[in-house]
Amino acid sequence: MNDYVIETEGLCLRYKGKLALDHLSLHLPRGGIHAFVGANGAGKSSLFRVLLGFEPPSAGSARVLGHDSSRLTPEVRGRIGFVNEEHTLPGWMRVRDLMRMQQRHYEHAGSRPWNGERYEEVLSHFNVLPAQRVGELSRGERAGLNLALALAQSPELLILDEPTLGLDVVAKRAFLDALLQSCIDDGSTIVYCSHQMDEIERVADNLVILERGSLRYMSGPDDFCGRVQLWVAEFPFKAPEVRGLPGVLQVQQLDGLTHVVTFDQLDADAFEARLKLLGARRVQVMPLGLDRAVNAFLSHGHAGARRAA
Amino acid sequence: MIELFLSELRRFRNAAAIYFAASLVLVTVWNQMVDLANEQREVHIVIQLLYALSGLGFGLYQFGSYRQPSRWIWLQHRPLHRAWILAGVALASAVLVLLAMALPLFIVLGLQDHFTQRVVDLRHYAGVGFLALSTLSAWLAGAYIMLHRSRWAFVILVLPILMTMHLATFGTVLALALACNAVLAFLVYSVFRPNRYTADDALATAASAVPLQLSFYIALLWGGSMLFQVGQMMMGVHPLSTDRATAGGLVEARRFDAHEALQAGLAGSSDPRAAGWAAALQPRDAASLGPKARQYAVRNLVSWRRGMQFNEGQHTWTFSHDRMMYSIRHRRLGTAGGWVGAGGAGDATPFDSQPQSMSDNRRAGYLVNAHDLYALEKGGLRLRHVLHVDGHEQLGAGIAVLGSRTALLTNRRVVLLQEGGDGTAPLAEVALPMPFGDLERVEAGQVADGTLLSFIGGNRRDDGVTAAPQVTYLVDTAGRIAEVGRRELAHDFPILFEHRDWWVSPLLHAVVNLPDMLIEKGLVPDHGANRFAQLMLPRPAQVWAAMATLALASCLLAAWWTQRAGLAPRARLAWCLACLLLGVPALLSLMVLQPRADLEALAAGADEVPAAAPV
Repeated sequence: MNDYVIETEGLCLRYKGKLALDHLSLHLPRGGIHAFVGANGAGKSSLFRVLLGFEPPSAGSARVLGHDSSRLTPEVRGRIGFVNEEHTLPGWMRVRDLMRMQQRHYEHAGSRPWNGERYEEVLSHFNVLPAQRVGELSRGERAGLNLALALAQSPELLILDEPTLGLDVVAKRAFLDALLQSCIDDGSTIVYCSHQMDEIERVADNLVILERGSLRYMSGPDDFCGRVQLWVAEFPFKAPEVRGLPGVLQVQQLDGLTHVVTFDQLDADAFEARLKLLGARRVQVMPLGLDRAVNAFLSHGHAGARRAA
Repeated sequence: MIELFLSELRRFRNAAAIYFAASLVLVTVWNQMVDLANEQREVHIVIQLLYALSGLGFGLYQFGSYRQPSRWIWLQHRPLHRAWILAGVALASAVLVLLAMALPLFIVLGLQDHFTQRVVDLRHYAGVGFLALSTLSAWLAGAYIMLHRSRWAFVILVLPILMTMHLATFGTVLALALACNAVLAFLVYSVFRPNRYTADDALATAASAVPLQLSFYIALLWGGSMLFQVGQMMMGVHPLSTDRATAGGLVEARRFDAHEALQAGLAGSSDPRAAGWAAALQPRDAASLGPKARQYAVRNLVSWRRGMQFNEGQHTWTFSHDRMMYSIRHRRLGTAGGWVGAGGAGDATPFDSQPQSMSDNRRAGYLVNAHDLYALEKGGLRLRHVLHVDGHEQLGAGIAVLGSRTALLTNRRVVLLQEGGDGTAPLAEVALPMPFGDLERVEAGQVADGTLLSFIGGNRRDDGVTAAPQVTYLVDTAGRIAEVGRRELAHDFPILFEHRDWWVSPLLHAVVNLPDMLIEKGLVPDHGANRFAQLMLPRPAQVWAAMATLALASCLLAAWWTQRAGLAPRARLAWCLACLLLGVPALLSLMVLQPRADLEALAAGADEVPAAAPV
């Protein structure tokens, strides 16, 4: 068995004149929940389209479950679940007919049977009746149905592209519980793309940060938070320009204090001394939550942030 | 697959029910006003076009909605081979087409068959089947257009027209429509894949390239011809402009009446008697011999250009292909008047093939088919057999009566009959001086020394037959035949324009013309000629030069284009060879199947420098 569920080497995708994926080399190990984070246009959805064989790479290679992504067989597709943010389902079908269709297609697919109990359990959190047409469901209800169907497939690899948009707090919690349960029960590998850091903090084992089609970072969320630090410095006079210092991601002026977010500032004493040398009267260092850390990390290369700078 | 099939049926069931009801009402009302089943071909083409547009719209809408990225993933990303997914969708669509479009027609036709005096043959039911297959062809074309990456994919619409629009038997037409649908289904299958790019798949590329090339060939000919002629019109030099017809040319000859055509034939004559004949020849003594028919209706054809009906006196004659006889109906009262066979009213002898009505220079009525000519007598309900020809010889539907002589045109000769005391007897036979298909017109004129016959060629000049002579004969009172004049008609258009079908792509020219040569469509053949003779016509040197130049230029451009595209050597060689053999249409298909966007995408990986390393 291959150790990686997803492998890409120098993967490029040019789409309408833009480089959506830029020599992306990624090796995602089997098992666990891998959270993909990135600004809009970072290439997350493009990557999923290439991985599922819906877009040919302009260069490089991509493999999913050990298979060339451009030649996925129906058998391999049966082992990969996919949920997109739009929760596109045929609006003309009734819920029970749709469930039966998916069940028939997936009951003999892959090595795991259709999990009807999980379908019922996830769907029970939503007010969805079997006789309802999909087109009559609200966005949240449709999302619930889509997620219930995807989890019931018991896929070896489940790719979720911003799946919880439109879900209320209770439904979101129920879904995340089901996701964790699926990961534990079936040993599924879950690729989870979201902008909701609280969700990622709760479920992710691995954090993958993409920026403009390239891999910027990959490790556990805790490890990531450990490498991002917030320095609060008090400059009695005008604050000097500290953006140019090595490892600085973000600089903000708040209440007369200069907030500096850094990455991999291994020698904390040296950085503190540097700030003091620039005139800081007091310097304080503190850890950051995932939300703020990712925000600072991404804003470093964000188009809007660059313009503002 | 069955679930997708049922899902698709559910999706469109309401729309199908509305279409069914609307179609049933409209066809019933229209059929009340005219006998739709026996109408002429133009009416049938309008009906076919309306249904084809419905099918095309259905395909465009259905696959337009599936083509959206998220829906496409939902449809394609499942543990089911794409062939089964497509089969589910296609079968459901076929059932919907049959129920919504074909069933109302079958109902109306069945009711007409059982409750009215109108003629309904087996071929009419087959015609409904053909309409259903045409609608499916349009649906498949719509699916292909929507799923193909190129915006030029719409040229696929030429394929059903090329393959199925033939005046052949319903068996042939249905087989062609089925074959066309099979080809289109394969083409749709080639783009019905998660990744809709087909450039990396040799078979899919070839499958897309062939119809594209045929379509581009047709489009180039139509478009090029149109542009050239519009240019001529704008400059005021178009030969069809009234005041610009080339003197001694074919356009001028086409505008002659019978008298003028004979005069033109005599004008170049070296016979000393010619001036006298020209002076003495009166318009009333000249008549045209056609050809008034170059094609006859084959038995059990789906539709016919002149329809199945004509009016004669108080009666409407409708030909039945099941009985090979005419059904007579009183026009005003609508009462049935019985059947007319080859022996006339009440005679049950079937016609050899469907006759068509015609008249001679005295406006006397006739019925003519490929081998027999009948004169209509006594209000049209009695038939007098005039002439029968055998074997490969067929009638050209030309008859002129000049005094006591009757001239009849066939694809081999002109027969002159002399009326005597004991009836009509053959006087002479004048062999055609050119193949029947080249004949533009034939005239007969009566002079004191006998009968003048003028043959003008040029009918296939636009198809590459360069020679267009006018030959004039005299058949004297004793039946002796002498050539009294010969001239060559001038060219109205440049040589390259006349041979455009060939030099644009000789191979595609042959492919496009093959159906006419292989399918029995009732075309009157050139007597004694090989049916493939038109493919082996001699071409002038400048036409050869144009063909070779274009082929070579296409090949060189293909080499340049494929190099930019970074294609594998074998693929490059295949494309270059295709362009050398097929010319510009192949080059255009290459540019469509390997568009600029692809080139950029392919180049991206090689040329781009990696972005800044991760922090």
